[in-house]
Amino acid sequence: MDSPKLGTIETIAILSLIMANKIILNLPKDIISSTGSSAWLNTIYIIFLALIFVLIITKLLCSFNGKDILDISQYLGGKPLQYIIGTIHILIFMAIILLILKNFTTTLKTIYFEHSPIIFVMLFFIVAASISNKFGIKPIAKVTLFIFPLATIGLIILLFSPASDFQIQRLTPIFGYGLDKTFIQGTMNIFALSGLGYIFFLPTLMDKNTNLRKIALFSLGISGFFLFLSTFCLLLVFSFIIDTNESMLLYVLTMFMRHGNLIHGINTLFVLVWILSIIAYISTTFSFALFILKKTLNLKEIDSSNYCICTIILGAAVLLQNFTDFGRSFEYIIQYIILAFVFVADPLLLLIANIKQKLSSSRSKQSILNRKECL
Amino acid sequence: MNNFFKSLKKVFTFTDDKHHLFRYDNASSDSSSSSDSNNDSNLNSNEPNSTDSTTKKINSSISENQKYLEKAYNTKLSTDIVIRNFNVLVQNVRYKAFLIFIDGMVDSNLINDFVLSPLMLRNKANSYDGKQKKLVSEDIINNVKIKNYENKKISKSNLTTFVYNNLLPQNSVKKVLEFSDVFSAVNMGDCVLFIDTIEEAYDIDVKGFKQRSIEAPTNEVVVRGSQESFVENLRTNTSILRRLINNENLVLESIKVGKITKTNVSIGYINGITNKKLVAEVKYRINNLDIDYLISSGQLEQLIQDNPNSIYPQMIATERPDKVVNYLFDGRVCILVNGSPYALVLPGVFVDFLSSPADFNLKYQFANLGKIIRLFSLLLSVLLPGMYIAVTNYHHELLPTELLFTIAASRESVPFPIVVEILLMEISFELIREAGVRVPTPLGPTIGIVGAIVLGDAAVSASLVSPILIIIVAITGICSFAIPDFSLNFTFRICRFLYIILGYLAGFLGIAAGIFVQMVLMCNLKTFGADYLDPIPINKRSISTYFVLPIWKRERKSDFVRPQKKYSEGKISMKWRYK
Repeated sequence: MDSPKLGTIETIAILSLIMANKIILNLPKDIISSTGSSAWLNTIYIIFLALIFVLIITKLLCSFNGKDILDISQYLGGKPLQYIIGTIHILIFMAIILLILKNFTTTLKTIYFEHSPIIFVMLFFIVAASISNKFGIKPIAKVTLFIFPLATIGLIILLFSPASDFQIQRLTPIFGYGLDKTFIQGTMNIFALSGLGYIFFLPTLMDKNTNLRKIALFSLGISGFFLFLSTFCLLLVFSFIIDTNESMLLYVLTMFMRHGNLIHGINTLFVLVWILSIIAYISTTFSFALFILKKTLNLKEIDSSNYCICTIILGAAVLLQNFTDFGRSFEYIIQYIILAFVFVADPLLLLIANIKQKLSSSRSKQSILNRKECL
Repeated sequence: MNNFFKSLKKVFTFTDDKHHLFRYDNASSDSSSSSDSNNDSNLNSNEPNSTDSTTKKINSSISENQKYLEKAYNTKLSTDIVIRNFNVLVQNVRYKAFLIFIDGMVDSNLINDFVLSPLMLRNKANSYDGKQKKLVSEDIINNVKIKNYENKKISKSNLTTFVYNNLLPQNSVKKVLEFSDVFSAVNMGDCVLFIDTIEEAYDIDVKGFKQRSIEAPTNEVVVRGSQESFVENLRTNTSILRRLINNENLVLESIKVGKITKTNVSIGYINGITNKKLVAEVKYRINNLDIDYLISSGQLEQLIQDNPNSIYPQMIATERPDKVVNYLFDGRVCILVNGSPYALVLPGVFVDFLSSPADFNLKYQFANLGKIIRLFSLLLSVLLPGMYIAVTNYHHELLPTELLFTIAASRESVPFPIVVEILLMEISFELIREAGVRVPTPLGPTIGIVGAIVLGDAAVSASLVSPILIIIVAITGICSFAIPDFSLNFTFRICRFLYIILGYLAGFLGIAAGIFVQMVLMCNLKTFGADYLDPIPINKRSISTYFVLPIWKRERKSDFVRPQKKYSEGKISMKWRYK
């Protein structure tokens, strides 16, 4: 009786959790180190840019009611273009999983598994993601729906817990390292909201794609709020010139929590929630990669592909871990590639497809109606 | 070498000789062997595609029918099968007849007084041959009594109808044409009347077997609520439901399941409330079971559930009629199996297994307190041992320093790692629990308590386990008893062992991975079209909710069953407050 497609709330939860995980994965620290005390201003700025981005792409997507970027690329350049776009996106999603695995498991290993090999830690994430993906994206989205409130409540508690250590002076100078760093070079920090790139694939996965714009805006609102809050609170607690060697600034923040004598080391509980959150993130990204693979290659079942991709990612993550310097460069390169595709190439593709559609004389009244309904 | 392999093969394969030891030898058997073979042939003939004896029509020759039944029932061996031969007087003509029934399953007085007497003893009814004038009515006109007689002569050939209409003063008599119906009726405690020259038999309801009376529920005890429970007899169970629902829209459809047992299964739902597609799906699944026998609702549950390999219960099994009635009004379907004192309610979603029957009767504040405690105890029963291992092995910082020292001190003399300790104790606890179920009732609780205390104390004294671990295992055990559903309890007992291993392997990382996978499995599960974790995310105002709403706010029926009627209350249910 129930459709296997994603509902509105599930989609919002998925998008918001993907972007909220960037906070766990230390994005606020990167923003603070690149812009200084103006990080909170920069956050507002990138949220504004992301808002414009969302408005544009949802408008462009609405012309192709119920079609995702793969369908649109097929419309534009036939099967070859679909293969190219599909392959690039699969690689991007695999790279995202790779980076999350590398970064988060390194932190976990440092904190709890000093004597265990990194592959052992990674295995738990990969196996959980692999098992979950046997059942498709819908159950993962539902679980995300459970985890998302936990993660957000945890974040709020964590961010406000060191309120007594907040110092307003740390917000000065207002423009941090300068206007240029805040508003021009700081534009690159929009990577923190690159989770919006998942929107390109949502129309075919969603139950009602007429809500796409609302979903995107709502998700951006939630994740933007948390990004701003985390940057703002971290800035109030830590001096922006102090660059901690800790890979997770939020974990350091847990040390500032005061919680009486009953419970010690409450940070462990936060780590438990973050692990759940990261597994959800990896599983979701994984299912998007599998979805693209299935659609591009017209596969009937993806179980074997699931295991294949898992093994490849695990192997690549271990390799990446062994080459630390290459790993850092790889991370930067991937970051730029993601930015280029999510915020430039994909919207450009959509724009060209829209122009093609406009130029085609047989534009029926139905497509106009679709657009109106969508907006 | 070849010889060696041949001899090895001989050792490890079951040869014909070996099989011969266990196989029943037809040739060496006595007279009973023939009856056994008859039995076999009867069972085999139940094959649906064969031209079997059970679909055989009743013969007009009474001796043929009797021979056939004697053979089928092995009357020489089965002494409880009674065939009573006699002559019946119909329209002043004597016919040979016999009654077949099972001793112990019928009420002898009913047979004597209302079957044999009217048939055997001469009376107005059986001696009326159509030549006499039949008095139809009497009128009194001007104080003069006028008798009206029927002039129509009754046809002699219509013997069947005559017997049915005049000679069987019983409320439940059915004409049967096939032997399959005869067997079914006799096996259910009816007696069947055969009369010579008639190609039909009469199935007369004279059931009188001993059965358990309606008692208080033993496994779903409530302080406030009905003290009636289902029994093994299907008709008693259906009558309880009829009495409680008290509406003509309650439908109780009967289906026979099992090629040999032909067990009566009743599908109950309320017309106008329950989704017709759901009812059709249930009937479709039950009708398409190719099994020889069905003894209990537990067997049926396993045969018709969506995911047979899933460890989660997907149907509510209850012995409480009031619980079934509540769910029927919610738009669910219930299944009653003859011989089983448990009804199945479907679809059953996760939250239903956390609900206690008392939740329906208690104030919502009390019910919610109970539900929160049950939810909490469920989490503890699954995660506590795993968490304990995780905390003591990987996340020491979570514990206050004093407690950490206490744990360390208590483990000082224990030679095993914590995982061995906890597995040892958990397995011992499971053993005690299992033994407690098997031992005779008066000894059961004693074994449990004595076993737990003695074993625990001895284990600590022998430094096999630490005292804190005993506390952990005891809390886990107590919490597991707070889970209202027996099947769900089993599910989480299995999960507990998995979390122990995961906690040992990777602490909270392992546990988090386990939780995630378990939740995905639960989210993926569907039961009769309903999502297992419904009603998530929105707590709709129905009886299946994670938190019990006040009774006046339980306006809606559960959405996941797509009921025909969506509301069970008016917008304002307590109208007296606003008048």
